[in-house]
Amino acid sequence: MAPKRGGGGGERVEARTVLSAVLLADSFTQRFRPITVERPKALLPLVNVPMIEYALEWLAMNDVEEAFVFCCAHADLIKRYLADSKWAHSRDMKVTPIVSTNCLSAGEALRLIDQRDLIKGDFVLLSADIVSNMRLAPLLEAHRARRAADKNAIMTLAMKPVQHASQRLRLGDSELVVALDAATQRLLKYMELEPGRPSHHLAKLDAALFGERDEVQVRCDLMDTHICVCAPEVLLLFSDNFDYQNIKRDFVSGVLSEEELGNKLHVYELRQAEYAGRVHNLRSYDAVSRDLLQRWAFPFVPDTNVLSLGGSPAWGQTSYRYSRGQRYMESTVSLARSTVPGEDVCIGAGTSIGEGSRVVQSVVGRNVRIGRNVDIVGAYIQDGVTIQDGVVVRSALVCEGCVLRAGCVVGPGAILSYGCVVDSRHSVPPNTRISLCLQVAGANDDSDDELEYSPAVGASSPTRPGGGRAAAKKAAADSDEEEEEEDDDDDSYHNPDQYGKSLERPTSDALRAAQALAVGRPLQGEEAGVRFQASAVGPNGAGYVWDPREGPADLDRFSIAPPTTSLTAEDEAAAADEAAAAAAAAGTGGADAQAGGSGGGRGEEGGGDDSDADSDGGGRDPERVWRREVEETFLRCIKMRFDVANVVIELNGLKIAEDRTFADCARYMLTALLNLGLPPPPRTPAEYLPLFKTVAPEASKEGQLALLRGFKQALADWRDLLQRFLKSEDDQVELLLTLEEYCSCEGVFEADGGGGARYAPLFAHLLRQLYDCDVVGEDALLAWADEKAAADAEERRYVEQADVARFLEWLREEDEEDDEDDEEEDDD
Amino acid sequence: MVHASYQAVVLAGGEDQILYPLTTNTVKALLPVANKPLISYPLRTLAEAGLRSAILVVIGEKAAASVREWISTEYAGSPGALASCEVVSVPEGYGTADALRAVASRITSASFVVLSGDLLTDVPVGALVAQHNLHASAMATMLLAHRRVSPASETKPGKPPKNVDYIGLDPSRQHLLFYASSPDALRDLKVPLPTVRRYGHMSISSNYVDAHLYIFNRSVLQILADNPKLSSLRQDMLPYLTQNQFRIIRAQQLASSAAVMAASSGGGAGAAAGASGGEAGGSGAGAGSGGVGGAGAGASGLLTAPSTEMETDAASDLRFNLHSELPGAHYMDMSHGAAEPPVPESLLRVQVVGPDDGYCARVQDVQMYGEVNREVADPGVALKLSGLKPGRHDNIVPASCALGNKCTVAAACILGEGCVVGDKSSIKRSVLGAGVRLGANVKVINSVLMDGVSVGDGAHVQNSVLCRSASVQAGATLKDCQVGSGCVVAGGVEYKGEVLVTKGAAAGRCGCCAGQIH
Repeated sequence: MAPKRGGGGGERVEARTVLSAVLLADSFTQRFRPITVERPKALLPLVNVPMIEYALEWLAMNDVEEAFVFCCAHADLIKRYLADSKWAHSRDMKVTPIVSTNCLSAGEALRLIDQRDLIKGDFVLLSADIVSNMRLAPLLEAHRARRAADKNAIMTLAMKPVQHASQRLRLGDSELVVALDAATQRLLKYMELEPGRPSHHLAKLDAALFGERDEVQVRCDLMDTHICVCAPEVLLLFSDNFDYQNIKRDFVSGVLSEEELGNKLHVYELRQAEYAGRVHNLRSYDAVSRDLLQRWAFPFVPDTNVLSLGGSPAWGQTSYRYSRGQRYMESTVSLARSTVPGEDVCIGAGTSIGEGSRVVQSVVGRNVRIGRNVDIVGAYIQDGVTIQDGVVVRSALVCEGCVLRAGCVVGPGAILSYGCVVDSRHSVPPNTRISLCLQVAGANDDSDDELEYSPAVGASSPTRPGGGRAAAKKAAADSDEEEEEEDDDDDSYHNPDQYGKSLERPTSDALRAAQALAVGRPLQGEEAGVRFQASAVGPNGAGYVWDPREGPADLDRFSIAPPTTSLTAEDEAAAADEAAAAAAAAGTGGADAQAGGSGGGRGEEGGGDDSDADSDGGGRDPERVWRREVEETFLRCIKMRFDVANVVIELNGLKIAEDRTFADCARYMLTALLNLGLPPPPRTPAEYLPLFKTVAPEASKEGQLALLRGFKQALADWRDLLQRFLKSEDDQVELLLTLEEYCSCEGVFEADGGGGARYAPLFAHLLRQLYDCDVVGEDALLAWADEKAAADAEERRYVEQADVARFLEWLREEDEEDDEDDEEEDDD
Repeated sequence: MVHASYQAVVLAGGEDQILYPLTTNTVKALLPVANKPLISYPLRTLAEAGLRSAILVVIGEKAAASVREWISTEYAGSPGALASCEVVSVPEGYGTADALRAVASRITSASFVVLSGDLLTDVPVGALVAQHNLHASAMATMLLAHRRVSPASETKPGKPPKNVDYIGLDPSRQHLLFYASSPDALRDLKVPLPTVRRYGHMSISSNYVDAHLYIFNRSVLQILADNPKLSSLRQDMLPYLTQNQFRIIRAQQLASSAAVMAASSGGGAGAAAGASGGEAGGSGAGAGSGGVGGAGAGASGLLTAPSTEMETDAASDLRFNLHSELPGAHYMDMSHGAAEPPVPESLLRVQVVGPDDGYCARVQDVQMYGEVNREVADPGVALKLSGLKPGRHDNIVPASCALGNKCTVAAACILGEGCVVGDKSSIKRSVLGAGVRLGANVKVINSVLMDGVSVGDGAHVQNSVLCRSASVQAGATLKDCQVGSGCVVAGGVEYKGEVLVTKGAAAGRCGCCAGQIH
């Protein structure tokens, strides 16, 4: 197999590239605020170990040799942490922090990595909030095998099959629908569905996918693990497309929509027993913590003590021991005799729990002092918290240094950030977030933000993730402006010396006041000037309410407390049938009319929404798009009161850009004119609404007359324009055919809501007016009638209308008379 | 017989225009395939499955008469034949569902088989019926066959394939979840997501084709009666069922659980009583709604059964109490462990016939007719499908044939009674009817020559179908041609891909070539 052994050795060394990983220690979201205002999320303890450790350990476990930790928000803290941790001296894996304080998205981070030219070969891309025990080797192997065969297979995404739809609910994920090539596992479509939007019943699948393969899998049972293996080309693509922000939303959908570039993405499915979870919101913080306690992510369980606490050397390794019922305790925990730690509990060293207290399904850090008769269920208590007698904590996150005074109640879903104090017998309402930082309205100073979630954008319009690239671009544009405005702030903010003076960081006064309140010392001097929100923390408490700026649905979905909503199979079944019926009604091949009119309408809406959400928009009917463009251009011209010459220029430009004929323009100008006599059709842009009639014309004689008069007027105004676009007899015949379609609401006019049908009885009059205005000549009218003569009954509907027939008859006679006249003239 | 309890409906078609010119003087059902009428194949399949009787639905009175005649004169009484074959005629323009509706009153069994009269298959229908009856909630079971040529291989990348059915199946490939079909290329498929969610996973394939073999429950007849607009089984009925299947299942369940409620209130309270009540309700519903409801009732009986009190002993009392009030305990169960819901039953089950699982083909067009003839002549298949026994050379040459000197009849050929083959002629992969006369030096490859065809010296016939009594004169070459019955093809001329018929039968369609022939 090795013909030249001598020379081959050197080459082989060169060919072997170091397996590297890019770890994004910033998720560019703000779901964890206000905690992330003070500390980075990557260092937030997850079952008493900083979160980033899980990812780093997993990478080291899978023989990754070099990890680049991309730090952004709180870069200095992460950098210091890494320098102090065991990774600084690790020989197996070199951990290099990359600091950039002005990146606002994963896309920018990857562009920066590309600029620095750090990565030569395939790399693992993940964020620091991932907990997984999957084996990377098979994934890498599959990726490399594909790469060897096809250079364009640039990325392999790891996805985990889930058994139950509620898995998502549990992690607060949005629903994911993917389409895969059954044979190659190539990713063909990636759709994230946000819950709460009703039109989730239909997924459009481009039939052209079947031109290359016979079988496509549509799957709802895959969960994205956010772990992927990328070829270096991925970085290049990010650099080429400077507007890519989010890896999934922009990059994946971008690659899938630009199929002609040939880049291919593939999916790797985790084995059944492998675990992967991402802590990207508080909901998943709770869920992943429980998974860790229940040993789903073995070897990442507390009692293996594989993870170091990092930070200062004094912390060292953990020393948990396991006892029955998933109770993990370090050696120096002191429990009062009557205390019963329940199941699923992890308690750090130096913690003491008083008589009669109960701790169940919770994680308690080190050196926590828990008094008597305390009831803690489903809560996460960090190091050094003081909980006095009789306190009740339910499904809450209590950060370092908090003090819960005797008898207070912390409701489900509450978040107490660092150093807060809750006064005795005060009860913190459910889902409240409290911090010593004062929330600044509209502030956008922390780079721990994703653009779309930045308050400035989020406040004005509800965030719509999955809204496609257009939305992302808009958001990018918005925040670019903001960025410029705040450039000065940024510099000072990221200057370590002035770090504490950031907008949202707690003031030193507040900190000192909170400390004083925590130990019960009276406030002195400037401390007294600090006014905390008594409604949130009680009169002697310390903290401000922090508005998470999430809607009520999101609040429930992302709350650290377990979700209250659940899906029932029955709803699904009903929805399934409805969706199927709607699919048939909206589908082109819908053979039966079972779904009826309302079903059709619904399906249309659903389809419309879907296509809006589609970032590629490739699935839309080009004719429909064209019609809309012409009509909107024309409406704009009417609205701006352009004169005919300018309208001609506008429409000509459009015609050339889209490579259409003159008749194509004229057709839809005519229908736009006809539409003006009616109420606006669905999906008309709001700015043009005043041009339309507000109410539908009556079906009576008067109503019809009014309709005709309106059309006559419009035609008088625009006949020159129409004439300019109807160059030949053929064009005019085409115009008539379109008019027919319009009146019977067929083809592209199907979605208009039946407006065209109003004109159906007036067809003869419309013809007459078109003839009178010289828009359509008699030759064209007769040619049209002749063409129809051979068609089947359905097609002849209009030709055979009595009025139309009479009109045509009259035309023919006229024609003959003309001929006779001609002949007579000839005779003369 | 085990399966004698169900009936069969054979949709035999009529005078098929697609098969022109093969069907000019005969009906499609009686076209010879390996020298036996086409209709005899599905009848044989049914007889092998143990059926006694079948209803043949033929379009057009004239066609029905000729099928009836064939049955009374030739089929009835032949070994292995069905005991009774009733021929029913329906007017022209009837779709397959219309045809079924027309004979609905004659169907008395709880489930019945519907198959197309042009289907040649060796799939055991009896096993299919047993499968169907096993899954009592299924309303229909259909047979899917793989396409012979992958549609994708015939389509340019980036273009949707034409004339395919998109069939969505669940991961176990037993349930039909999605069905979209259109003669033109569809632009995009609208996949109903709730259905996908139900199964988690749906694979949509363009590579299957409906083999037109269905097993239906009686309740289908009710649906047909309720929805007179459904005209074709494939184009209307299947989409209707796929779209409404969950609604229909729910309606069934509601109806049967009402029966359970009624039964159990009489029988007393308690879980055990509820279970037996479920059984009682099942039988009651079975009596009431004829079999279909029974299954639903059984299922709902099972659903009520686990409501037995959870027993807790004193030792685990504390633990249990702690657990039950923990927030979110329910969703931990959902996401891990054995919480996987059982695969929901569906109305539409499918049985996929893989390329290696058995033979399955339909005579839908002329090309397929030739292909099926050749394939049936294959010694492996011939035995199973036609009942013919290949001879020593893997071909069938009756003793009454007269073979000339140095002539060759290759393997996988079938010759009818009384054939005469001239010297030095060769026949490869072809089927010759009774009384075919070949001259000297004739080559017949991949062709079908029906009864009484005569071929002159030195003629070549390749990939062609020659109908009854056609004659090819010496030295002619036919390639990819169809020759109508009684037509005389002039000698010494080469024809490629043409339809040759006599002028009278041409009816203006092929007048020009007919003119040349005479």
